[in-house]
Amino acid sequence: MGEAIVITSGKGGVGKTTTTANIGTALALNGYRVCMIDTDIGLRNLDVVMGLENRIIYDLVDVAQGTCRLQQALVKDKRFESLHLLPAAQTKDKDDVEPEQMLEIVAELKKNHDYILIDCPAGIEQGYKNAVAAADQAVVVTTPEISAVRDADRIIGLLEKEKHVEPPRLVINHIRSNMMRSGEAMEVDEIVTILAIDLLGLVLDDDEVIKSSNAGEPIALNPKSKVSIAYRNIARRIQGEQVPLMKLDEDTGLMAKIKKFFGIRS
Amino acid sequence: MTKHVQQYVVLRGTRQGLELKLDDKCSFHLLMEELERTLKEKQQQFAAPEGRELHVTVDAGFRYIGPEDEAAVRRLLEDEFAVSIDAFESDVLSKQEAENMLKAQKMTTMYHVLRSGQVVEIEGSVLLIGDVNPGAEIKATGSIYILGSLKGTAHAGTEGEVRSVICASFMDPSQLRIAHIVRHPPENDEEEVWRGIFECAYVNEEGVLTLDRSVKLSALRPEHAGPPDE
Repeated sequence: MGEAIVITSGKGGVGKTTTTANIGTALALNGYRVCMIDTDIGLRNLDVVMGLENRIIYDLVDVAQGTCRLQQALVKDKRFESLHLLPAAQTKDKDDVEPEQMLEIVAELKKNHDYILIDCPAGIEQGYKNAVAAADQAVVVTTPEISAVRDADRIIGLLEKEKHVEPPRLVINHIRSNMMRSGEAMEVDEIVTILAIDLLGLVLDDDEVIKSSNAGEPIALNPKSKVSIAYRNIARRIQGEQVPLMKLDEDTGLMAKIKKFFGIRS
Repeated sequence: MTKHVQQYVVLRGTRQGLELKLDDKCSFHLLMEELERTLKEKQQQFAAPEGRELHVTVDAGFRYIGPEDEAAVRRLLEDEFAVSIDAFESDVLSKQEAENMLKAQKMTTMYHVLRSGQVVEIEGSVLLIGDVNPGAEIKATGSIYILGSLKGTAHAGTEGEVRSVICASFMDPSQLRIAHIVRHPPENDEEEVWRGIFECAYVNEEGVLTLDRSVKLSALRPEHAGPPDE
C-alpha cells in the first residue's frame, strides 16, 4: 500500500508544482513507484513542468466522471518507467471533482504505487478540499516572505483539523541567503518558530530551476545543482532516512545559527 | 386589621447609610403593601434635604427576588418616593446565576498553537499553553494568560469586564482589547517598544489600556492576588 502526500501552501507562486515535480522525480530516481496527481483543475501546470503536456489523453475529471479507466489516464514519464502523472483537466472546473471521488482514485492508485503526490491548487476552497481529502501526509511549502508564512500558518491550522493527515512538514523554498544575511528576508529559524512544525527541507533560489522547468526537465535530474541535492534530500527524508540539513551558504554565522537551532531541538 | 404583630419592613441606619431590611417569610404581596405604608409614614421623618436624593441599600434576606420583583421594588422606591437604591442584596441566588458565576470564575486550560484564521472564544478565563500566531484571535469573558508568544489578537473581558487582564510570556500582539478598549501597537518603532519587554496588559484608572511587567499585577488586581496575602 502506498502513501498519499499532499503538497500545499495556501498562497500561490511559492513553488508547489515545482516541489511536487522534483520530489516525484527524486523518489522515482531512488527506485520507488510514484504517481503525481495534479488537482489544479482549470490551471494545470504539473504536466508542463514535467514536459508531458503533449502526451495527455484523458485527465482527472474524465476518471472521476467515468469517461475512462484510471489506467488510461495515467501519463508515463519520459525518463522513469515507475513515474506516472494523473493530469488535471484544463477546460473544466474545480467543482467537477468531489472529495469522495478523490478518495476512490487515490485508493486505487495506492495498490500499485509507493507514493502518490497530490499537487494542491492555491487557496482553501474546493480544490484544496479535494487535494487534502485523500492525503495521509502533508508537505507545506512556503517562502521567506511574511505573506507566504501567514498563509502557510492558515493552511497548517486547517490541516491539523484533518484527522486522517499526519502532522504537516515544512519546505522553505526560494531561500536567498544573501537577503537573509542582510536581514531583509525572514530567517529560517524565525519561520520555523512561528509555524512550529518539523522542517522537511530548505531549497535555495536558483535561476536553474526556472530554466529546467521551462525545458520540462525537473532539476532533480541534474546531480550537480545544489537545488537538486536539496530535493533529493527531501525525498530521502520522506522515505524515512535521517539526512542533515544542507549548508545554505559558506557564511558561518547563519550556518551556526541553524545548527544551533536544530541542536537545541533534537 | 391595621395592627401588625410583626414588622415586615425595617428601616435602619448603618455605618454605610440607610438600610431597608425586608422580611423573608411573608408573601411578596404583603411585603409590598407594608413597604409602601412604611415609606409613607416615614416620608416626612426621613425626608432628604432639598435637592438631594435619599440613598438606601435593600436587604432581602433569604428571599429570592427575581428580576421582576426587583423591578417592582425599584419602581415603588425610585419612582414614587424618589429614594434611590444603591445596592440590592439577597442571601440567595438562582441556580442560573450561580452557574454563570461559576463559569465566569472557571479557568480553561488548553494546549494549542492558534494559527492564522483561527478564533477561540472562552467563557471565563483561559490559560493557553502555546502561541497565538499573527492573524489568530483569542477571546475570553475573563482574563487571558498565554504561556507562549502572543502575536495575534487577544480580547479579554468580552462581556465588558474591564478588570480583566491579558498576560503573555512574549508580548508582540497585532491588537489588544479589554472590554471595549482597543489598542494597536505603535506604527513607528521609535514611539514605544512593545516586543518582549512587557508581559501583561490592563486598563488603568483613566480607562487607558496599559502594558506593564507582570510583577505589577498583584498590586493592580489584588482580588486575584491569592495566597500568601489572603
